[in-house]
Amino acid sequence: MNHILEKHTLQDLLQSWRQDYDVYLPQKMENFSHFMPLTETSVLVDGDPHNTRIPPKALFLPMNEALVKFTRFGGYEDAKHEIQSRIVFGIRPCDAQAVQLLDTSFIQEDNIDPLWSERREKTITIGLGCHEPCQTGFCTTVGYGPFDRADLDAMLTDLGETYLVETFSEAGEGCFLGLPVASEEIYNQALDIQRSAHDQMPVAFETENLKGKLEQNFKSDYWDTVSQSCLGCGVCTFLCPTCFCFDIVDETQRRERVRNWDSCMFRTYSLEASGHNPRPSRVERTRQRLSHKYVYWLDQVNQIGCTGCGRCVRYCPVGLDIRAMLRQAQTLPFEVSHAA
Amino acid sequence: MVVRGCENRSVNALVVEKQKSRENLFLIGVPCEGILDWHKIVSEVGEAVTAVKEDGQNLMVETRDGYQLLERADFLHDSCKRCIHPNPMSADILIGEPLPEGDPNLARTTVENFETQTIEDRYAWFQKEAERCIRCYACRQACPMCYCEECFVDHIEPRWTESGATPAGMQGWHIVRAFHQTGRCTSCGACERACPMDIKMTYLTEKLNHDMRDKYNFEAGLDAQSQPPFAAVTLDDKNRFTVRGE
Repeated sequence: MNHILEKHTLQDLLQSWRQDYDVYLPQKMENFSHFMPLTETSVLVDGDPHNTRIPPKALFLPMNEALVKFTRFGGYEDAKHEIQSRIVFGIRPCDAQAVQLLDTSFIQEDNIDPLWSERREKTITIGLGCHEPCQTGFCTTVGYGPFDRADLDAMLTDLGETYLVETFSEAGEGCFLGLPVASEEIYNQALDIQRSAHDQMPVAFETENLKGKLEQNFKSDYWDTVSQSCLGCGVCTFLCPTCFCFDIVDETQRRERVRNWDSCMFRTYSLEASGHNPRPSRVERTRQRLSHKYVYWLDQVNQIGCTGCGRCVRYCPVGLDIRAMLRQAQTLPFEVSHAA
Repeated sequence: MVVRGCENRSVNALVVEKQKSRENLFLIGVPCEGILDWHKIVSEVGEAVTAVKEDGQNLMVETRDGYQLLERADFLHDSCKRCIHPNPMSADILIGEPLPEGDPNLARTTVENFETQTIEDRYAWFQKEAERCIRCYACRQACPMCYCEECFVDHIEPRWTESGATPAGMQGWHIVRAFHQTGRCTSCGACERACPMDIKMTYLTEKLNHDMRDKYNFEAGLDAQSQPPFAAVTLDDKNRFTVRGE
């Protein structure tokens, strides 16, 4: 169902949710926005056209979390996590798509990550579409869009003084009970905004045959060229909404086994106990990062593993731009006969 | 290599530490007027910036809605604003006219602003900054003086600091990273520029740099011979930092 939400009533609505849920929404932290729990004094971020700096994957896969606690005399027990029912409000469609993509990794038939899956089950996600697409985003290029529903429970479209609320699930509808129903006219007005936002997004690169080109040119000099200025830090992967690698470490002083975010751009990521490193330099690591998103995800779930949020472009300390890297990849030689 | 003042100092410091051989390098020096901070431009003009053009002391910022004229000097990175030596001092050739030296008091102010706070406030500031860290190590990778084959945070046995983005891990990283730079930091500010979380960290290294200037009359990278005081050993070492020394 479609509703109308007056912006000046938003704060009251959010506060009313707090009776039954932990409510997370983007709030100002220094010069950027960050998903934080709503408190009585929270100030809403108004008019930030960007997604949060740290992607909301962190709400489901925290940067650091204990898995096991060691007890005396060699024993151990599961680390206890009280996972509350939550509403995540204001998630951007690219980030919602990313979380849904990550389900394919964390929730597999015979292999379910209990923490990820419990957090997913207990979370209602309410999206905020992007009526002013950001400069570095390229969601439409990779097959998504600034108003994509993903598996959101509801989505808002900014109409100036009001939001149009589209609800896509019972849980989503439950959050907006009692709000006036949007007229056909207002709904059409919102659809226009959604279409216009979609049309404003430029095509950043062509995706046709991209997978094949990256695969066939595995040994090409291309990788030396595009990785040349890479610093080998973890910015692109840590701020990526679809990067999900983690490392499991025993923090002996805390008597915990923890899982930390890890990055394929780090030397230690692929370093083996023998001292051998199958990805010895930034060339191989860059190839891994791009190929994972534009080749291996396609092999595994037939979807590009990048939702075009643009964080890696915006925050790379040396200005490496995945859009330019992939445009360059499109100029690589490609043999159709190989593709099958 | 084309080098600015800070980069020339970094090359010198790396030659001192035998990481580079000066004979193999030909340095083309460029006096530097400072690097622009795009975060500052965006927070002034808004997100819709499409292009920025430099025109002398002005910046012409093109946005979706039109143009805006800004003064270049207001939008430099903090480390560039307080740069003392903008001119490369030992380049093989210099391109352009040398610039006037910066005011050393400006670097001092950063340290003083921090030092004059109460100990509680200093700790609160340090926590607020350090605990935004995501452990991506962009600061380390961007630093000209961080070249260890294996960084202390990557060492597993013994583990020198907590591995994850925990308060102890983040504080441990920021403190030890800074202290490894004692007498080695060339004040280029690359660490702060690279940080994706806008973490302030040069106040720590500037304090160390100030102590080096103050107590040892030493500044890293001014020449390609002088050892950092904490790396040098002499028989007449005064040992004045131990309690009973003299």
